[in-house]
Amino acid sequence: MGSLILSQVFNAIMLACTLALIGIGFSLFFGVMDIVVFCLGDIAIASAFCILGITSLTGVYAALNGIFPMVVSNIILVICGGVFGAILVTVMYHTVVAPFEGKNINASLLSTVAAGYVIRELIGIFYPGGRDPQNFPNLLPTGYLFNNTMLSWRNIIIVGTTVLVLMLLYWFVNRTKAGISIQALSQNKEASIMIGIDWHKMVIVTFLIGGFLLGIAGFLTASYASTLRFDTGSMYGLLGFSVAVVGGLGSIYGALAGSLVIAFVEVFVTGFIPGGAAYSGVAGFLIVVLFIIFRPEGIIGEKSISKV
Amino acid sequence: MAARLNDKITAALVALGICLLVYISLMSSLLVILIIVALLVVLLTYCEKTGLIDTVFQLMGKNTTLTSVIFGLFIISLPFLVKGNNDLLHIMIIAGIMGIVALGLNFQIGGIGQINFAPAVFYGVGAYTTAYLSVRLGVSPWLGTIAGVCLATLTGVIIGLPALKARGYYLALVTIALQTIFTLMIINIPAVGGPNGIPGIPYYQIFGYSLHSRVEVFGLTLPYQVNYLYLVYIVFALAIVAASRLFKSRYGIAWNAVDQDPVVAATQGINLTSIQLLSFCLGAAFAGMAGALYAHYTGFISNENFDFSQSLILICMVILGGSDNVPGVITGALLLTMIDQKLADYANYRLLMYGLVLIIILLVRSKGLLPKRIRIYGERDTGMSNGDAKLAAGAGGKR
Amino acid sequence: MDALKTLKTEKVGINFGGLKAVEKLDFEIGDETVGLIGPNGSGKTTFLNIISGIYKPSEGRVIFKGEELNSFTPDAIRKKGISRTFQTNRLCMNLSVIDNLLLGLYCEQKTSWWQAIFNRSLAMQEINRGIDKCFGAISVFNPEIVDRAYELISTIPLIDRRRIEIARAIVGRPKLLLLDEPTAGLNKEETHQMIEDITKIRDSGDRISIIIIEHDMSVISKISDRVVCLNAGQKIAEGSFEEVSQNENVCMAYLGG
Ligand SMILES: Nc1ncnc2c1ncn2[C@@H]1O[C@H](COP(=O)(O)OP(=O)(O)O)[C@@H](O)[C@H]1O
Ligand SMILES: [Mg+2]
Repeated sequence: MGSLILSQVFNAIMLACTLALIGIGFSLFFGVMDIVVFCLGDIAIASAFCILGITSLTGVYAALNGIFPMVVSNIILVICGGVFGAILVTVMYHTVVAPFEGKNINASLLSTVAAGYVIRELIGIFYPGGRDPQNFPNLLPTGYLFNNTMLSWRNIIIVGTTVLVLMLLYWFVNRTKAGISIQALSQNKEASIMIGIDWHKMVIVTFLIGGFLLGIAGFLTASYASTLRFDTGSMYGLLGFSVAVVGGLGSIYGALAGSLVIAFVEVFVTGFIPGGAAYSGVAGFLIVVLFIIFRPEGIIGEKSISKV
Repeated sequence: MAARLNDKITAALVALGICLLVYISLMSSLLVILIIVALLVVLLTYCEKTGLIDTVFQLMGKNTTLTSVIFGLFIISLPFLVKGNNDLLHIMIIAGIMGIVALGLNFQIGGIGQINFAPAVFYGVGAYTTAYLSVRLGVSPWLGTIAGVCLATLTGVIIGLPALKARGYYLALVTIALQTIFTLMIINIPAVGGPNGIPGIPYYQIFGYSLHSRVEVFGLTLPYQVNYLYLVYIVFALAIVAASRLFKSRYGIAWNAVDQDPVVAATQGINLTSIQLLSFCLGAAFAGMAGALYAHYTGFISNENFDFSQSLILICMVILGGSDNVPGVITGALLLTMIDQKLADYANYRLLMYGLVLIIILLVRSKGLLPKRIRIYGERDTGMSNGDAKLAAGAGGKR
Repeated sequence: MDALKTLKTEKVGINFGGLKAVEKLDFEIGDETVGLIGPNGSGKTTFLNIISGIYKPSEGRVIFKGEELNSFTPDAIRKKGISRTFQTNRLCMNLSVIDNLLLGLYCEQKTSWWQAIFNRSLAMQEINRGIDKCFGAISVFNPEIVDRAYELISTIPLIDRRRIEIARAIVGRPKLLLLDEPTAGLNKEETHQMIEDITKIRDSGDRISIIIIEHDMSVISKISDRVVCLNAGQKIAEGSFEEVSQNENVCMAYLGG
């Protein structure tokens, strides 16, 4: 029993890692723009498809491997995914977000949901065999640490990458000028603009960083699942948004907390309730609905009094 | 008097024109429909620039009896016009069913300005309830339909309650989550057929006459779709009447007020809880009714008919047609259903099209083809013009 | 004595975080017009928000005609007969003039949604009666607005918007009317017109109590029977306009002392 619980805890942590980054993406955009971009999940999946696409172009991948050692070329691949995510997010910003800034939020809500569909369907239509599940290549090392089946190198690297990205993000947000500006914007937009923060520039920076995060998030989920499906983006995005809301929309650390909550709920419902596997998604979303009803500010969000 | 007659003739001509447009779009290929839509947009823009559109709407509003008779006759004669082609009749039936759901969805999107991403849940609950009752328990389809509407309304409460707490993005998340939960549940509950759906749903019967039988009239053998066409359009007509009356009632105004400013609405004595629940429950009842009709028409339902894409399509209809405008919503439902069914050859591109249509509409014409109109009162068949009403009321006020 | 008072508050107060926006406020109003004055941020609007149920007081009681209102929601309070306007004009921009006015009649209309659908003649009768009432209410202020009844609010000038908001508040014949700075943003001439309009309401013979928040002392002196002055959430003076305007505390508060 003890080892069963331990292995479930491990699974939950793995799931949390794949959710944390996308949750942070949601929080980042919401913090700076007061906007929820609903197509982030699809962008992450599209980035994973981009990496998959490069590896399946045998010539390119072989050339990369010829020039660099294996590890470096794989890192280059992941960075390509991140860059692709950043580009896609920027394109999305200009097409479906920026035109609706300052207008009724329903418009941007609908347009980003629709954009998610467009991305997903474009993959399904134009990626060769896009509507079939794809095997995601194993770019991470195989084998186990201490010969323990729970401690596969793949899992360790996924957790490690997540932690590393979180640390970089922490450094960026708290130690760089751009990061501090972004924090200021998310706390008080008007005042920040007044003291000379270039809002448009910061929005672009946020989108680039967020997009890069999404690309990495897509890579991590795809590696964790070893398969990639074109239509998982909506569910992934939905989970990411849920994570952000449960933690406290707009807060980066909240997203981390939220991802742990959702991951543990889902994994434990799957593991310990008979026949629960089918309902793990249901349980996760029920948690979200309950949070929205009873604690909309999330785990670490502050309760704000709306001014009449 | 002559002016009145002129008005009537013009209104009749406009109504006939609309029927003709529907007929042509129904008969022709996708390309022609798209051209018609493009022309329509140009025409509408022109009418809006010149103010003609107000005149047209006023005319149609004043002569509702006449125009509804024309539309009714058009639907009655449609099976003959299409020479009993069952594919075309099928398109019109589905359009009617979608129209009913869209009208219900509009109570939320247009009325209280909250985007409900789960209309397909209401639709599905109606369909699954009656299918389950009539297939597994042998209940009569009519009773099943009533049960479907009731259960859908109840679902309206379940989805409406979180909506009281959550607005905007949060509501979107709640409704998408509930939509996902619903899909997961029906896939995983074997009693409702799981991924295989429920086949063999019985057809409606009226005094022993099954609506699933061919009809022989004037030596013409018409497919069974005729019966369903009439049934669906009777319900659709009732839904249209109900929706337009609600729009012009104090509830329509209260809904819009809640959308604009909940605090102001509350200080006018509007109970936010009940008014928002009303919007969700009525919408759910409409959708439940439509779902039941769908189940007993096609005889087979599965989770794919009621998933998130279906919800998105329904939202598309409302937004494209024009939210909070009954003729607009009907236009959206008819148009998108026709395009959707004609797109069958390009099924691969279907959802891509919906995504693009939604984005383009939001960018180019965010209020939809027929934007919301100001409520005009005192416009009745009695012949009192809007201006007269204003004057009379004004005089009353100055007394 | 209590029964005569329309509204009474006993030691009402509210905190926002650490800020006591209103503190231990005793207030009463009978069949009269009371001017509520005080420097910016002194808690006047917050007080109206408490009375109309938008904020729940953290202490004290609000009593309207002998009934405690503390636990009531804004809509229930409106149904009891308290209606209000807002400091920044808050009409529904997505509705026409007449729809905005009809909103004021919402709580006295009886048509249920069921009747709205199935009993058209009844529903239409009530709506037409409502329209007559609304036109009646607004044409007291400016009959020309009636001609623009079917226009969106965004096309209407500010003074007329104010009038529409006030008409929306009085068309349902409330017992207590709360006006939050009705002349804010108006020029001198328009202010005069607004004073006349409010006088008309006061003298309409409908026995209506009015609480009016105002910065313009000329308005207060012309309209109010009694004046209450707040500062930092507390009542610092009360009495006739002359009394209050000569009160030292009041002068100090306004001078920022
Ligand atoms: N919802 C709220 N949250 C926090 N502080 C508030 C809120 N509403 C009002 N306040 C504060 O209460 C004080 C009184 O405000 P207000 O009643 O609007 O003043 P007045 O109308 O007299 O100018 C102000 O300091 C204001 O900032
Ligand atoms: Mg104020």
